[in-house]
Amino acid sequence: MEQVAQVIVANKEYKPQANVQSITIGKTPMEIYAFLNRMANFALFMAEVKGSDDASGKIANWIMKGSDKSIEWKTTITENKENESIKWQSLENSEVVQSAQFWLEEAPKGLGTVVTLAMDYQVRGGKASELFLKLLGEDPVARIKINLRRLKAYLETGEIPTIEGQPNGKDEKSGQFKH
Amino acid sequence: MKALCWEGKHDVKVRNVRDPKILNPHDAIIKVTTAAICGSDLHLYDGVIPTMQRGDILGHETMGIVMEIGKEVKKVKVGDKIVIPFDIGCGSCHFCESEEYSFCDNTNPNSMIADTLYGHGGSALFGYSHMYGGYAGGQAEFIRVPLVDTNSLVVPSDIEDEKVLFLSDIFPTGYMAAENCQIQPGDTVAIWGAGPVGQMAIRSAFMLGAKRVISIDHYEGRLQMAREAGAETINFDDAEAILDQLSFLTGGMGPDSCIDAVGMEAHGTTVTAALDRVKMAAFLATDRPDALRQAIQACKKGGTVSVPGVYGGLLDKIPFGAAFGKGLTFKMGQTHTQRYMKPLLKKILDGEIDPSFVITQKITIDQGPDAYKSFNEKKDEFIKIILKMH
Repeated sequence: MEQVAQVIVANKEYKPQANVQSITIGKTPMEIYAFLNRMANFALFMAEVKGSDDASGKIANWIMKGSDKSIEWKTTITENKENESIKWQSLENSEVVQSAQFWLEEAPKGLGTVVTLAMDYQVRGGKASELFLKLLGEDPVARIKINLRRLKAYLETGEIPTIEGQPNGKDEKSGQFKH
Repeated sequence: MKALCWEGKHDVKVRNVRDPKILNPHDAIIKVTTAAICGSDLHLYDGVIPTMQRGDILGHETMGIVMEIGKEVKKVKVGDKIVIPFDIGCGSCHFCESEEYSFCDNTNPNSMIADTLYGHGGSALFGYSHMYGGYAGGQAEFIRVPLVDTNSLVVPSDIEDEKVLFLSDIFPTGYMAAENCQIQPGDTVAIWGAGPVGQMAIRSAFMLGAKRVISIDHYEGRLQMAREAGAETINFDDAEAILDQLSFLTGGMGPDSCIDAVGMEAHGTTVTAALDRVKMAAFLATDRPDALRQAIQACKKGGTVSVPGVYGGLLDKIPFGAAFGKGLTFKMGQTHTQRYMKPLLKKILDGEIDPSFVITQKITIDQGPDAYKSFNEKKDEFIKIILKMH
């Protein structure tokens, strides 16, 4: 009997723990793999990825901003298995050591693909590390969930839902918006 | 532009705000021609829905003219007159493709809140708190509609707004509530709440084959509107025991199905209702389900309880033993409005129903703050208020 994707995912080597989450996306593993196999594309759905330095799109620039300080680092894909998984890491000598992986499994009932994301961080120490841990927040799993939701919205609808810049009653105090 | 903004409990103000802009490629900007105030807006007004922020623009029953479209909009055109559903779907996720639009996965930028509270959050809604996406609502001169090809019903330009505005929420909501009753020809349906949703549910129940509809409320004006549709009525301020009366009216069997069109702010005078208010004030419970309790108690064995809502949080003292003992079916949820808009528009155009009967006041946006106050305090006189813009 064909193993359903959720079972395969649950039986993986990594222990199901807080910093691993999965989501079901209505696209084939091939379509999703083609999209994720280019690091620059991460900028289209991950809020922390600002773009790519590099013409081939192989390196992505990440930034996490605090109120007045920010931390930046670069990542590149280190391992990939066609239509199955993509692993990436921060470049050598990064202040932030990030290692992360996407897995792709066909979902049951024709629902598309179960996409699993694991993200781990280690920080080398010093002032930057304090800031980074603060920016990461008490709930790093939330960031993973948000990124998966944004990936799903981007792939299924072509856009990411937003209300940033919409009108609000507070506009009146700013005096800029006269009737 | 002018907009009605939530400023706190019992505090709605008209504010001058920026005009909405296209933010995403499937957006449209609509010049609002008519909007409505909903009974569920009063939950926001009463401060019982969490995650509202000062300045949030209210309103989820909106229609108007398309002024501008994003570059990926394919169906809707500038100049179209559209009615906007209150729930925001994407059209592409598994749920939208199954016509379960209020379960949409892709429209709520704050999905984490509902995911945590409910296990899995559903679609965003217009003008209904940040848990539901925080989208600016339609009690304003203009509104931005995301994913407009999914979230619009194009209506004939020569039709009066009042006839079709309620396709945005209350008519589909009443209709889905009646559909959820799984009505068999000849059935008796009891409906708690004779507000606009209850009124639409009464008429929808008859359309779907009910022989008798019993409407329960304590505002004579609303009960009179129900009688005009052919419903029998119970005024629960007079009736000594609603449950006994319902049993008597149905030959001892109980109604075949029951609709709770009251939701989380039931105004009952029973002991349980009084306890609910105490608990709500002390944050021990969040919702007051007195109508739901009665619906469960009254329903016949093997019957169906249909709940169009609205409920937000936690209930206490629900007779689940009764529900189990009688093998009841519960059907509920936020309306999948987009599923019903076209077929119900056809009923309107064919002359089968004119939903404008429910309107009791027409106001301008400047009269909005006073209207909220009156609606909250004088429900006998204020049943459905619409705002004429432009």
